[in-house]
Amino acid sequence: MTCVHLEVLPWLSRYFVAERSGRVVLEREVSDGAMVRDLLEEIASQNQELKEVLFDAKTGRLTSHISLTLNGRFLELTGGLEARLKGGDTIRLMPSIGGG
Amino acid sequence: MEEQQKSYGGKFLRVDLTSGRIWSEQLDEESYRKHLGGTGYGAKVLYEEVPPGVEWSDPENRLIVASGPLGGTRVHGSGTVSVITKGPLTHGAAASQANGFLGAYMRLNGLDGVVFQGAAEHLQYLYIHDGEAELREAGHLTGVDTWGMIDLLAEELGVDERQLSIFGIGPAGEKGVRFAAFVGDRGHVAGHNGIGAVMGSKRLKAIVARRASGPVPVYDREALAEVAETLFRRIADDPVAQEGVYRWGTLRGVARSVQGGTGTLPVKNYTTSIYNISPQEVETWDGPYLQEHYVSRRHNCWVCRFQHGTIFAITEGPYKGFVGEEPEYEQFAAFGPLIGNTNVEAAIVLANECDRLGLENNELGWVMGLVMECYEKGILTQEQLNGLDMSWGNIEAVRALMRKIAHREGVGDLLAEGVMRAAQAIGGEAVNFAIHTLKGNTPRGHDHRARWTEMFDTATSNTGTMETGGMVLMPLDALQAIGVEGPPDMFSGLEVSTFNAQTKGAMLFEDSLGVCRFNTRTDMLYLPKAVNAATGWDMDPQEALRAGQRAVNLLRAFNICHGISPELDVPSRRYSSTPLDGPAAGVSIQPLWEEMLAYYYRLLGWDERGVPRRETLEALGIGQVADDLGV
Repeated sequence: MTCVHLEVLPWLSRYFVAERSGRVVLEREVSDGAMVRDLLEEIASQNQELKEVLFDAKTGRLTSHISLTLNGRFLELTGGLEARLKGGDTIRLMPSIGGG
Repeated sequence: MEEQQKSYGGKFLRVDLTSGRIWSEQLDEESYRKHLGGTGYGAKVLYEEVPPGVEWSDPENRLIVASGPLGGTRVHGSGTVSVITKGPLTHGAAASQANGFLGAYMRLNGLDGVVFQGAAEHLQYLYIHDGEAELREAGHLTGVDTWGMIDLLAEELGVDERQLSIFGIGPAGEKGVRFAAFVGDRGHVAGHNGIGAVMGSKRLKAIVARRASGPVPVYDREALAEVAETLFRRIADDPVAQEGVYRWGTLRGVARSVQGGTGTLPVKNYTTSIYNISPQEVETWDGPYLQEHYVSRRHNCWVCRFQHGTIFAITEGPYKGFVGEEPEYEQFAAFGPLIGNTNVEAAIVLANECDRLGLENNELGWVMGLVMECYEKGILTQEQLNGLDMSWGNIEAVRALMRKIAHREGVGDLLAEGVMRAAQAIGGEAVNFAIHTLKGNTPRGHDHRARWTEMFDTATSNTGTMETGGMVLMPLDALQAIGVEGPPDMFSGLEVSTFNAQTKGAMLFEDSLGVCRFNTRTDMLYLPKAVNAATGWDMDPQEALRAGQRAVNLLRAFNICHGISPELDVPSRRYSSTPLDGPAAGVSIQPLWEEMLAYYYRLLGWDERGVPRRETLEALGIGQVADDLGV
């Protein structure tokens, strides 16, 4: 097992910490060689509403409601959902921002 | 059961400012269903009535201000108008929207919109009331800003301001600033591609519509009320949407971008993607702080339940006594990170001053960014800038320069030409710093190097601003209703161009209805249902999309006929440069551009030069355009 940091920005953080909508940083244990998808599926399995926010039920792809970075770079540029996690990695989960 | 009478509106006022003649025309139902109101109707008028050779400032240019079949109904936010003309930044079509009340009040007066042609000898305004309209002298409003204009007109007409919708131009429009805006109802702007300058060239100061008793034509009121509620509930009950614009408007945009490290803030003219601001300062840019400290009263638009659209007041400190509208994200972006400012109160004040002067805030922000970078690098001197120290973050200098631009005084005269032309006039390295498309317009207030869908849209658009829109935030089932599986990989050139082509038409359909995008989210599932309830039609999402595509193709054809070569579907060097830092550092769209364009043109049914093919135009019921294009 290895430990990664999951940083969740408001308002998504309310799915992780009751009665709080600020920024939270959580330590998560993942198995060696786990992918970002594994981590997200694991947290989604604990909350149906969060699951719907994260994944499109029809396609299994991430929805456009959220945006992710892995160690400060967009997930799309770091291997996407199949990117392998290693100890100390930081995954930041944040709401997408609308507008032009 | 007695058959309900079909009722769709479609009456437009025609105003010839040269002769003072006013008349109306009724669009037949077939044409109305084909083109709708707003941008769709405007595209039709512009294409049919403004031939090549007519310039933006020519009296023969048209200025169309239009609501649509949902305007003034119970659909939330249905006071919106779309404004269409030939604009001075691109010398091509302009289409831009403003929320507020004007669309609703025009519809309550029995009108879907107004088409202006000609040019008055002296400054005038149009007053619509009791189902009638008249032109009135406006010489006494010369030089008056867009807030003072409302004070004076409400007083002159002896009508409570809440019963009036007033949109017009400030000094910038009167002086022909190329990015002058159409501003009204204290905080709403249709600003892109110099609509205010066109209005100024026609010597039209304002449009005033007095609330009337209606009724607004609706085929089935009960059904429309139900769809309106569904549209609203799809936002209010959606955990994603309810924490977004519904709750905060766009107030959290800057803070969330900083906290998330999204790389999408436009920082110091794209010289970096990192906004150097402390966590304590960031908090002051966030929704909770702003709402707690500055909101003095609600200032909602027509039938809007969102918790934004407020009047701000500053009660202490250097800006004590300030009263103005709640800024939108793009204003915060322009007067915050873009100019290197971290003081939120200064941004609030600058945003309001920009609106009052009648300037479009995005272009103004990019102009300031260009000037500040040129100043930092010694390309522009303090002497050339009329003594102004244009160091990053110098609020008072920005304020002074903004006024010079609006009045075309000193160096402001040069900068009033907009980013592209100003950079060319400054010369040398300045052209490499300028953020714009090769058509001459500028992007919305983001760093699109981390948002390729928007950059591709902005550069290929025919409207002088975005034309496809931020469809990645469209409800997923609505996207799927028009055959799109889901959002693209934001850094895949082909996925981005495919997504933009597949969703093309949705935004212009929405902009043809007289509704606010925040409220209706380009909901291609429920907006056609709303149109059907309002008109008695049986439009499905595919027909709705085709209506929007018809407008896209008409505007495309208009631009081509007016000399805008598709070779200009390209961002400037700096606009498409490679970010040096932030989450998209080192990634560039430039090497992919040509392939993206080719793919996009093909999917839209355009040839390899970006010209619509005859069969594409015929399929949209505008085959006659093919003859004009020679295809």
